[in-house]
Amino acid sequence: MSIVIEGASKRFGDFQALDDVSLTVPDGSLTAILGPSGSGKSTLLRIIAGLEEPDAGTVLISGENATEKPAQKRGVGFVFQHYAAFKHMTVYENVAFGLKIRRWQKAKTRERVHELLNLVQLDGLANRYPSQLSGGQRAWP
Amino acid sequence: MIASGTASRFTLRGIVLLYLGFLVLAPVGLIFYRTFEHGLGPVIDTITTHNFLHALYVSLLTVAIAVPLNTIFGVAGALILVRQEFRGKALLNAVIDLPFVLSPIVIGLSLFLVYSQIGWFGDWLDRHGIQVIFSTPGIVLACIFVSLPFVVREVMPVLREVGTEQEEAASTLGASSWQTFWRITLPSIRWGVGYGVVISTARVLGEFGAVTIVSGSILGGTQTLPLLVPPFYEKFDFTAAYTTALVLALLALTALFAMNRFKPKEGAR
Repeated sequence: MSIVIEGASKRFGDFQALDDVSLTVPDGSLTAILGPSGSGKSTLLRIIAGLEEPDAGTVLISGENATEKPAQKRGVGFVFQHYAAFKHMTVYENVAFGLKIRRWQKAKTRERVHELLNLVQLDGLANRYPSQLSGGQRAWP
Repeated sequence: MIASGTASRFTLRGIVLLYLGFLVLAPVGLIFYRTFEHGLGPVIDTITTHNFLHALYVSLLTVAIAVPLNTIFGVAGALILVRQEFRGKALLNAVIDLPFVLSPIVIGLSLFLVYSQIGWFGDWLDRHGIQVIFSTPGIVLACIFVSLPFVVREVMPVLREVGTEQEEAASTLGASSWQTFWRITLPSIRWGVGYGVVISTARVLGEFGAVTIVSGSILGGTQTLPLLVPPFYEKFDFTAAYTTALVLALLALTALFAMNRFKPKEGAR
């Protein structure tokens, strides 16, 4: 999944968050974006995920123009700064959410969720709510 | 620190309890006592009369229409006011508080001026055979008006606190805005919605001033439970008056207990 940004600009009121930014992330590569606070890193990531619409410029994902595509159709994963766990759902339900939305079968979902929870050593806490986890445990998902 | 010593702590507690006792518990408790003062007989006589049963029906029907409508409007209104920027937002915000600051009598009169036969829409409604004033639709309108702000005002601060991150996370996981609303937004604010529904219900059940004007208080026709109380009182039928008051209080308490069942599970807040 390659990501190409061409001439992206975004303005919030008087603040120019992005000014004609272009970026190419080739398929299978790992890219880090560094910069001081307020330099527009999050805005750029949010534009790639579809959580923000650029004022100008285009976003290509796997060569396809995704600029107008809503977030739920892009398939771009996103880790939020404050974890953004669903507070009213258990750990299990949190992990299962994306699969449920994609209408996975129940048995298949259960298997996959436990597999993932095992991977991050949270399987024993599957029935806890996010508020019942420690800070470090919350950061895993 | 304030109220740190044992003595001052007990004084503070005592003052709060006395205040509640004299203003709330004693009057409400007395109603209960006076209702059953002459035994069950007169109570049953009251609640089995046609007028009482019909008033109960009108009251419950009004709750069944006004509360769901105001809940839908309240959640939608809160979402718009918290999440969107548009011209006239400040005005909308102020208008929503109008029912709080207007006397119910004024609300009743204003509805009368618009919907009665001499009102703005009077001709149009008359030609289409719709009677609003002196009939149930008028009562429902009045109750919607007086209870309009409750759900909006309960939900807005909750929405602000919840923020948008969980919704954004849901959309990156593939949820449509409809799915996000039902699975993320609504469960996050349900406590606020529930509280708004309970106080709306209580307000609709108890509304007197606005309903008196628009309903015409026709015996066995357009009376709600609160409207039954003054005529009973004027005829010195105190047991009937207290019985009606008690039924009203019990209905409101039922709503309160029903809400408690929706309390978030341990930890899920």
